[in-house]
Amino acid sequence: MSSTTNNTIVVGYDGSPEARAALAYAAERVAGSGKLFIVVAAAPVPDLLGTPYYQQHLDASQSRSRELLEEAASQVPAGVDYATELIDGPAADAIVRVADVRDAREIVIGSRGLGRVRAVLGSVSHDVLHLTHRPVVVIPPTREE
Amino acid sequence: MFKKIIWATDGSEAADHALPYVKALAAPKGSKVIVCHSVLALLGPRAGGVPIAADEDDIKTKIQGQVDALGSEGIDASLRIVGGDTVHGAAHDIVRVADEEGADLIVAATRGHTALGGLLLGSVTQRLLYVANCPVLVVPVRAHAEAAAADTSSERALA
Repeated sequence: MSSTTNNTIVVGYDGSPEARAALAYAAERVAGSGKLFIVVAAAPVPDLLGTPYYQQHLDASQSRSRELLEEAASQVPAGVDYATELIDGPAADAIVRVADVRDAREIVIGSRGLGRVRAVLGSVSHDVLHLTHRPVVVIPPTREE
Repeated sequence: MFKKIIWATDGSEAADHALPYVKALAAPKGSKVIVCHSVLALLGPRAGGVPIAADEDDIKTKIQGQVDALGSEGIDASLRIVGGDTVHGAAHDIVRVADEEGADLIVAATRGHTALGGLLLGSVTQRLLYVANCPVLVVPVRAHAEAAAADTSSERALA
């Protein structure tokens, strides 16, 4: 099993402008090649099972992610083959897990202001780089000139 | 889809891990490859301007050889050796070249076994992610074997 047989590209999507740029990038990479790209949206779950209204939180989180995936699907150019995945849990874990299951040859993620909030933990692109051994394309934040 | 790809290399074996990816991306579309090497020099009144790496000449020879090899494989490759921005570091040199050239991708390898070491140590690649204005492809060292396989198959497909 190697990337010779699998040319899947996995994209993380959270609705941000950087995620949209990442999506466009991935679509362009696979366009006309007959390859597949997979859009992943993560549905964050409440930290503790005992959290009040746990199920409501979960449902809300999942329906939001479903909307994100629909939004993402609407941006994919016609003729490009794609699939969507909705995974519970932290975004970086979700992206890396999907990449592993699909044996993706590449992960594409938007970096949201990595530069400016360097000290803040929990940047998804940062985490993905930590968690995976696959090549990662990081799309820089959209800069307002 | 890429018109110009920058391959950032310091001449190390770790940096070479990204090369198969550069080839695989550049070959099918005839992209221009700019091999970018930043020479870090010492700062200071006496030793100022002296390259930090004692084997800098060997490194340059190696990289020039790689550029020539790319050329002989039919890839439009050129070498840019930059330096001087030692205060900010190599990542800034590379980003400056990328901006000047209007590159649409920078390819760089991580060092070590996982990205973790590099991230914690603040490597050049890590800094690149912060300062780059175009997408950056980070190639982990462990991905190398797979890429090599993909590379040979794409060559076979082209042949």
